[in-house]
Amino acid sequence: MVEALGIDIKEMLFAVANFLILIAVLTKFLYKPFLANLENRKQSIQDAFDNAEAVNKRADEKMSAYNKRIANVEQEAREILKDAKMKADRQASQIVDEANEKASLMLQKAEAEIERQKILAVEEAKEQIAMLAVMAAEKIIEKELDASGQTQLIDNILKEAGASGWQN
Amino acid sequence: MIEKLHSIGISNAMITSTVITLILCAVAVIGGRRIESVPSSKLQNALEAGIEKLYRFFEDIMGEYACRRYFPVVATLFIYILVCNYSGLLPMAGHFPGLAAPTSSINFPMGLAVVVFFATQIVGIRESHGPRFFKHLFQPFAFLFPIMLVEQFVRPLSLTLRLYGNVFGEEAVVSSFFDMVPLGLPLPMQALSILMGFVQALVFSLLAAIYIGEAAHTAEHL
Repeated sequence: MVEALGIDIKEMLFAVANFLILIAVLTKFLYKPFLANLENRKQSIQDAFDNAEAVNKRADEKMSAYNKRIANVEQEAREILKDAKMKADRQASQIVDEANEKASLMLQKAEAEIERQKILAVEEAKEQIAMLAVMAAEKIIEKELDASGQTQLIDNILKEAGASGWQN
Repeated sequence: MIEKLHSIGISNAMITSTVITLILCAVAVIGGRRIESVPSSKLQNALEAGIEKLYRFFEDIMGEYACRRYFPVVATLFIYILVCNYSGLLPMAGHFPGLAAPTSSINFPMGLAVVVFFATQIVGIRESHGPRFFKHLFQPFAFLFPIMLVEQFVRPLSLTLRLYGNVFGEEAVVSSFFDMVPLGLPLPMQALSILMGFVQALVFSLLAAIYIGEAAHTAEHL
């Protein structure tokens, strides 16, 4: 029956042997290295992705830190500017106040000086007028008076002049 | 020389299957000689694509664990049977001395089916660490044992007859068409046999994968 079906143990064993040899060779040279290579590649791609994600995260963190710092710097600059402006304003008003004070002081001084000069001038004028009056009186009366008589006369004249408001 | 081989009992199918084995070994050695992680050779690209497709296919059937351990057996079955089937498409196959599709002889599929049968038992014993594996023949009910036993032996028989019947039948049809009208008529049949060769290789290895995967998983549940 086995022969009638064409079954030949030798041929069967041949097929089995060929197949087993093929399994051994293909496993060694094809399946193992190729599957390992595919697995390695998958791993390296996964690693690259993970790495990229980590780098992105770090970059984001740095970026937000910089942004925060920039915002702080702007705030600081605004404050510095504000301080400087306030200082300048204060200084300016101080300078103006000082100047005003100085000016008023100078004015007061000048007024006082003018007053002093005025008084001096009036004194001088009084003296001159007195001299002139004496000379005029001499000429008019054409006679000499003694020293005490002279002084008395002058005083009288002056008194009269003061009473008539001449001084002003 | 072929006659000499014939005289010592070496058939055409044996010669062809040996040549195919040598060619496949040569391809594997050349292809696996220099593997780059960024492939530049077309051969590496093609082999990578093929192996990965096969691996994913069998992984879906056998599960990740069984596929990782027993992928070489089922993948080699597929590749070997596919190339053997296609060797029957070569011009003058079956007529030229030393050239005949190995799968068109009953011994070749039978040899492979026997390998699958023993592989299934060995995987089961190995995964369940001993003869405990044969307990599955008494599950779910002990009285089903005779049927379960018959099933185990029918498997290689059905594998053998399916592959042999298809390839032999296809070759017989092509050859009788060739006898009727040598030019043109056998062509549609030959075109069909391209598909058939692939389907039969797939079915054989698929069933082997199912049996081996099942044995690995049965061992888990004992």
